[in-house]
Amino acid sequence: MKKGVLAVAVASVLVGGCLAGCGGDDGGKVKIEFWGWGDKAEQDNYQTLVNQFMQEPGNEDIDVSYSGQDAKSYMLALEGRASSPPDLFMLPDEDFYGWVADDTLKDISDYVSDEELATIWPQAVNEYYFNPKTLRLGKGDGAKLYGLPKDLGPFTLVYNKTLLDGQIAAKNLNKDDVYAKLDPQSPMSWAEFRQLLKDLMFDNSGSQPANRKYSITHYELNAAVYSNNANYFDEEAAVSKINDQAFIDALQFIVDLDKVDGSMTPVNEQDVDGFTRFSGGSAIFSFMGPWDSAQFWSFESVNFPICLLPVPYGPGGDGQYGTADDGVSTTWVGSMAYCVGKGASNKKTEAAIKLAKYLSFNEKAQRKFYELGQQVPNIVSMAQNEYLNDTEGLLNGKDPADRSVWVNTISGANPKIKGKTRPTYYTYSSTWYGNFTKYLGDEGLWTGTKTAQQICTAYHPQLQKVLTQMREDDLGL
Amino acid sequence: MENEIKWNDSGFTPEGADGKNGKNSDQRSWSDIRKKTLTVIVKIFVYAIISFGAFLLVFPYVWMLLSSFKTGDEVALTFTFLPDKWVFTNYSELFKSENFPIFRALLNTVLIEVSVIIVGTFVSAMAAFSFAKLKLRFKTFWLLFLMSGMMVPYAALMLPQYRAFFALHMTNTLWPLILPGFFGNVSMIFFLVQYMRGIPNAYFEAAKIDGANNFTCFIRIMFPLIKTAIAAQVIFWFVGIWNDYFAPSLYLTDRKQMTLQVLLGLLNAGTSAKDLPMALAGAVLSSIPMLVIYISCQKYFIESLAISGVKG
Amino acid sequence: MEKVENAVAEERMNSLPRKPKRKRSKVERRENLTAFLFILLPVIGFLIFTGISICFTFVFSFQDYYVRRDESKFVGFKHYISLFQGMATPGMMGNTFIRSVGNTLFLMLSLPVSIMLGLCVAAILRLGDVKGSKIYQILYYLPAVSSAVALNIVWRYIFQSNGLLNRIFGAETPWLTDGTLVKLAIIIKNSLNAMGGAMILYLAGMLNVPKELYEASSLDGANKLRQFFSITLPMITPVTFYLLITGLIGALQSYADTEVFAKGYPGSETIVYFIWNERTDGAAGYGIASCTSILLAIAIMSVTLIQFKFSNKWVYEE
Repeated sequence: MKKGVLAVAVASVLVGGCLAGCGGDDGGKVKIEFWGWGDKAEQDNYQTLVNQFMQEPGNEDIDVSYSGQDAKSYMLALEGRASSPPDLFMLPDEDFYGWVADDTLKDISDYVSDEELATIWPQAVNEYYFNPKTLRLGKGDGAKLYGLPKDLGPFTLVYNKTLLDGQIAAKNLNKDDVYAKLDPQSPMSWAEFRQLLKDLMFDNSGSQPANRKYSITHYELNAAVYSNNANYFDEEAAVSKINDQAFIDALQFIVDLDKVDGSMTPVNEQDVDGFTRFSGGSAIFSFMGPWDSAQFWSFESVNFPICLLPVPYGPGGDGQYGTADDGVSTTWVGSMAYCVGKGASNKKTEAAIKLAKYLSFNEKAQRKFYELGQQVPNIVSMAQNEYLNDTEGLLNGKDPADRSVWVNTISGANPKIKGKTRPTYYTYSSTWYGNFTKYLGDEGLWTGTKTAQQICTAYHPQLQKVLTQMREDDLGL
Repeated sequence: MENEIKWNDSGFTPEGADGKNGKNSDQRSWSDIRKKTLTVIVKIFVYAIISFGAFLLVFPYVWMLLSSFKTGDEVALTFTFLPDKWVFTNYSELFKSENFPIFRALLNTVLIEVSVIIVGTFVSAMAAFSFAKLKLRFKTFWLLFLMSGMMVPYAALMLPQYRAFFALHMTNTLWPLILPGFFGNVSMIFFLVQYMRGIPNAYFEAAKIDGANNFTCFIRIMFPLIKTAIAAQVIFWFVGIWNDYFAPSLYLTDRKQMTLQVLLGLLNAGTSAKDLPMALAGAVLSSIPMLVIYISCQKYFIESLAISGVKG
Repeated sequence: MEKVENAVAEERMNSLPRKPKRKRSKVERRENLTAFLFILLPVIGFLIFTGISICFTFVFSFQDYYVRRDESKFVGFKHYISLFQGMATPGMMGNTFIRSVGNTLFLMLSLPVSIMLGLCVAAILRLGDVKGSKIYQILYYLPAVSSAVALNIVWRYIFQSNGLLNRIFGAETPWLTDGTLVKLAIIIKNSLNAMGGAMILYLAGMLNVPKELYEASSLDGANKLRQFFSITLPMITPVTFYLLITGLIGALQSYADTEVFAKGYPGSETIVYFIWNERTDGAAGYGIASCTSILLAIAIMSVTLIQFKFSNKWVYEE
């Protein structure tokens, strides 16, 4: 019997070994490994596109093996093999600086022509330029291209039209007045928005948390900060600016929505994420990015129309309207890049870049991405016409309405609406941001135990220390 | 101590008091009836307590089971207990998709389980025997030395380990999950050491006089005696490997190489409400083989007295 | 207690090895070699898969380590010092660290609770002559066999502000958004989930108690409850010892509950969560994570050593 057991063990090890080491040579094809992340639907979609890519004429000699993981495992595994990463891999904007400054990415400037890049959002491409001498991000003298953009994802306001109309009727508001404020082309000021949220407030007295409704689910920190002409630090990410009045005002603005007005879901009920609560119909306003569309569509029973809206703008540094430093409606725009590892051979780089180009700005691929509710197309002309007006009929009236808000946030065509990368894009590591937001919660900003003024003043030296450390120790500037 | 052993009226019924031993005196039978009533009350109380405990423990599982029959919306948005509308496709969908090789994932997981547990248990038991019954020098040192591996958090070990397996071209294969198991499981060693220490040395002394060597002692005498403990630990290890997610998700990137939990984890990776009930359905399905293993090992805990009767 | 000792003492007298002589005999040396060969595989495995990594971690704890560049810079005890700086100032590393230590210790409450519960259930099932004992054993072990990730989803639904618990009791307890309550929620959840494992090991352990002991004490007229306290409990102390040690090691390294169940809410961060968080914070961050890991390992080792030292006072051994 013992022998039998041992035999089974040996046999299973052998089989395991065979399964593990399967896959022989494939006769002259360039084999490339492509890594990405996302949920199952997105990964499946990538697999389909990769298969399509391999069937395109001219790509017969390229054999791509695509694999996707969850975000956390992905970054850890990628870091583990940073010296020899997959031939093509996705890198979030937040991690780009650290990777490129550590000299792990390949300069792909020579593999991509300016004509090719001219078709896509310049904002997206510029994010992935880097000057290896000055260690500065962005396009400029001596800057090289280290990645092709996967997407640009603006995170903007969204509202539930059914709930809004119901509340307009319930509160006897003038419908035209309200809708005049909800102009996708012309954002509100903070004061107007606060007033609107107050006007629309629900009466929650006596109801259980599960049944309570609020005017807005939560408020995005970056959208408040950027729209008040404030920032976490200066342009070089060298000097902390969180104790500037404009920054403090932005934080206080969010706190007051809950603590003063009571129009925002209180922090105690924010344990379910904002967009899920919004999808459940428990608030009129929330925030969403293009990648949330697919999730929204996947709720079969959710039947209310939703519309996009630019984020409101703040008064600016001096807290006064009508002065020079007034804020402009600015929200954060997320992005990812397709990158190639530094040590990749010329042959593999060529194949990998071919695939990256296909995913980044091939029409068929981009069309598929927006159809599946994952992103706004990278191709400018496609975004501004086909996507905006749904000329191909692929979106077929699918929500959200007023997609122009997203397109405008990216393009900057409307001077009243802007977009900006997350603060973590500008720093070597993004841990500081998590620590900062955790500090805000820890110290009771959201519960109102401390004011934004007190908290920002207290944390200012700490952030300054971290910024200096990242610049001097990590980057060596 | 002495008085503790004396007859005590309260508490559980002693073995002799089944009512037949009374000498027909009224006094005696009244006290018997009282005792019986007491026993019944205690019993009801005991059943109430363990049933309530079982309810608390099983509740999340039952909810998970019920939720696997709901639509995505219902799971993510409404938190109902019973499904509003029973959906059975969550289960069938799991087996439909072509690029969701669930049977391959099952095979991969079983491969790891079988090879690691058979080899690893033997190695562990042998080491435990040495710790518990042989004259090993610096015994405590060696035991703590092995256990120190459990004490350093995985966050610190992960990077060097990953790099080593990558350098050996073993990432995206099952080897990083199989190979370490061949060298035993410290937690199992530790438990078996504790267990074996309670087994009388006399058995081995006798065998040794008959000329048996240590290996024979281990195989012939110790191994049959520790079946129960091994069964318990095998269940633990089996469940541990089965549900292991983090390390496998780092090493396995190709869907054909993934273990069951890593593959099912894909359903949970995003925010899509559509996949959530499928993820729960997967969790329910993947718990079934473990229940089967558990139930088949359970006999070792129940038919026990026969085993322990060997001693003596 | 005495009874147990008396019952086994005789046997022990016969079987106990004589005190080792000053000079070890050939036989003893041979047995020592065999004994070492028996543990050789685990030792080799440890050295290959863990030992080397621990050495790396130890070295990194004195360095600024650039993970992606694989370059390092010796910085001495800088990280060890900075870990303890600004303990009283919120937002400073030392403060975050000390808080995570406090949280970890608080969360360890689930360890004694789950051991006690597991013991009670095992005792009832073994001694209480319970009908359907098999079924109960399955029910109690059910949480342990289900995927932790899926269970965490469900547990969150239970504790959420609009979740089941609050709805049943019509309460508004902010289980997941209060620093103390979130810890309590984790303790409740873990105590329930871990008791099944303890139960199994106790059931297994109880079978190891020689039947004669019970027979002898039955003749003396001891009832089951008394037998449990005077025989079973002392005889299964090795199981308790095992559960305590492995439980402590596990609890001091708890991480998944913070990450998955509490979603990193302030007040739920543990030491290992702190390590994972620091790990990505630039070159110094990796060093900090390494030195915290080393300190944690030393702390766990010390606690374990102390437990081992005192074990002969209360753990039964043949």
